[in-house]
Amino acid sequence: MEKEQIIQLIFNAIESTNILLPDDQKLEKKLNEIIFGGEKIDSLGILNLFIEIESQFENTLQQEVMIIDNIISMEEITLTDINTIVDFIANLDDLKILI
Amino acid sequence: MMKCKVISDFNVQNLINILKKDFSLSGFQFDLCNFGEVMPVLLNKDENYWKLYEFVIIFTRPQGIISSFKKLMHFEDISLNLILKEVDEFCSHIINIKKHVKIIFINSWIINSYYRGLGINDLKKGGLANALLQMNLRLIENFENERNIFIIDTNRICNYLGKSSFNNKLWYYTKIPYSNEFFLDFIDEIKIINDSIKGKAKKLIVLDLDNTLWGGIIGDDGWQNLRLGGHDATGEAFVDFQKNLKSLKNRGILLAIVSKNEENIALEGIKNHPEMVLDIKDFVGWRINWEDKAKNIADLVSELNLGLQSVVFIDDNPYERERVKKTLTEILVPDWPKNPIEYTKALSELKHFDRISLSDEDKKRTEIYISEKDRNMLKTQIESIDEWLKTLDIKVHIEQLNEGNIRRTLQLLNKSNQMNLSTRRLTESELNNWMKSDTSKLWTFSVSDKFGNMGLTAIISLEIQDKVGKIVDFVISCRVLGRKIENLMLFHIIEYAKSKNLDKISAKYLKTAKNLPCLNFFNKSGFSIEESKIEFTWDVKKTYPKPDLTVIFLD
Repeated sequence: MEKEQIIQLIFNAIESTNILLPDDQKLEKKLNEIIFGGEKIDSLGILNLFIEIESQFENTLQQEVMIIDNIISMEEITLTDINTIVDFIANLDDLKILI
Repeated sequence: MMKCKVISDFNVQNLINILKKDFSLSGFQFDLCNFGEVMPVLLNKDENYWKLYEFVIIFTRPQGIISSFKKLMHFEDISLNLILKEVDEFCSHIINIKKHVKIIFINSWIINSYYRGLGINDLKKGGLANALLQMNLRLIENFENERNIFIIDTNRICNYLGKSSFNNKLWYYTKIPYSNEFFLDFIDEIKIINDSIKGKAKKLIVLDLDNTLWGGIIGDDGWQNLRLGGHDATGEAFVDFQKNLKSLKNRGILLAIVSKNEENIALEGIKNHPEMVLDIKDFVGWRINWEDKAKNIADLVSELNLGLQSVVFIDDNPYERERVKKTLTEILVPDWPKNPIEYTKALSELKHFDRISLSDEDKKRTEIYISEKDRNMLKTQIESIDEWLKTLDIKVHIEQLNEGNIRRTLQLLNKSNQMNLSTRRLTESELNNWMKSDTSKLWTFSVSDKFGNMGLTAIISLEIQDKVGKIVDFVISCRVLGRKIENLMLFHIIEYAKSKNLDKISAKYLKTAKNLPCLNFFNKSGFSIEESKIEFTWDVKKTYPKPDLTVIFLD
């Protein structure tokens, strides 16, 4: 899967998640948008976003994808903005096999 | 700030977040209880606690709130009676709080469709599906007569959305069982009920003709060659679409036509085509000419004395839709499918016609409006208003508030804006409480004439204090305005005051953005105007002139 496609799927997920956020806190579809540690989205919002990201990948690849579980398993969460999430997903072993 | 309480056995934060966005403009504030604390909250009997809330949403899963049903899901030996007893208990707690809050929304119960229960025998006794059907039926029966408790049919949402109603990931990570898509539809249902309560339900559908009510162009093809019925899929679809429009008409939704055509040709088609389901009498009005449709609609809506916000415009032509959407922004102009086979679905998906209750007046709405049109035609032929009124043979039935007329009284009280002295809005329990005092009186006025029955169309209420009768509510539907019903109401109340030896009748006008017509009436009513310019009085020693109408007292 091309990096551009991963970005697009994440942006689709942002669009769906934004229905939960107040208008002035909507996530922007840009690579340096802060997700972890930012002020726009709380932990429940982050879970909603990643559940949506997983669904986007599963619908596209027609395969089960485990992203959240991989994040939870990290010893220290080093993710911050969309850029870091894109790199993280691109390097997931599960996803590499599928791609 | 209006407050809403959300009570649930699961995490409702996503629902709240979406609700906040939807209701933020209306100034709602949402409180939620900890999930799992449904019963402790419902058992709170403190009236002051509940009075804080404009409405309460109780959203539960059957296995989360009815413990015996949860056991049944694990195939423990549980009797249906035990489950239904628990349902009754749950309902009784809700009925206990209903008198303190204005509106309660509750969901019908569903479980994820992957629970197969007893498989092919699941609909039989002992099955999950069987128990769930009976639980929902019991829920409905328990609330059947509760006018401020509304059950949201989540089964319908679930059927519509299918598998995407539930989201296992959301459940396991966040304890939210339903998808956001599901919540959006759930909230839609709440908004529709809320709109209906506030009198914002759509009342009129304005329809185009060519390729909307039938296939083809009547002016070019002739009515004999239209695609309507016959052994033709598209023709059948147009017939079904008309049948659905007729069903809406039978539910009290008005139909009208705005079409670019020659009027005589179009009407000939409606009258003569053998497969036309809609009759010319099904339409309260039409504008069939070559003028701008937006102008025609505005004209027609004004003639019918409706607001633009109560109108839906359906047209197959995207240009016409865009023109109306841009020009008359208050009108709902739904995107319309290109394929007529989808018309019935598109119409059925419009939820804006839902009403919280359906009165006899609602059902007869089309006839009432057509009668009104006939009345106005007669009015133009007769010069003097009194002469015109005499020809109408108006009869007015007056009766006090009772079980039979309270629903319509509340409708009128809570929906009427223009001829409304104080714009007092009340729930049924608030009105009943107010009526408990011997000093409070309310009369209803039902009007009919030679063209038809307009039903209960006016109310007046009085509060007596120290020999003074204060008019609290003075409300008249626009349907009967200008027929001296308003004068009869004053005559009636003054005669009543005389019989009770009162000295004075007073009426205090409370200004709103819409009730100027009421002030104008009182200014011309013959009542004395106090210095405030908003308070009017009548010395009961004087006799108020009785309008020349036939009055029948029902009490």
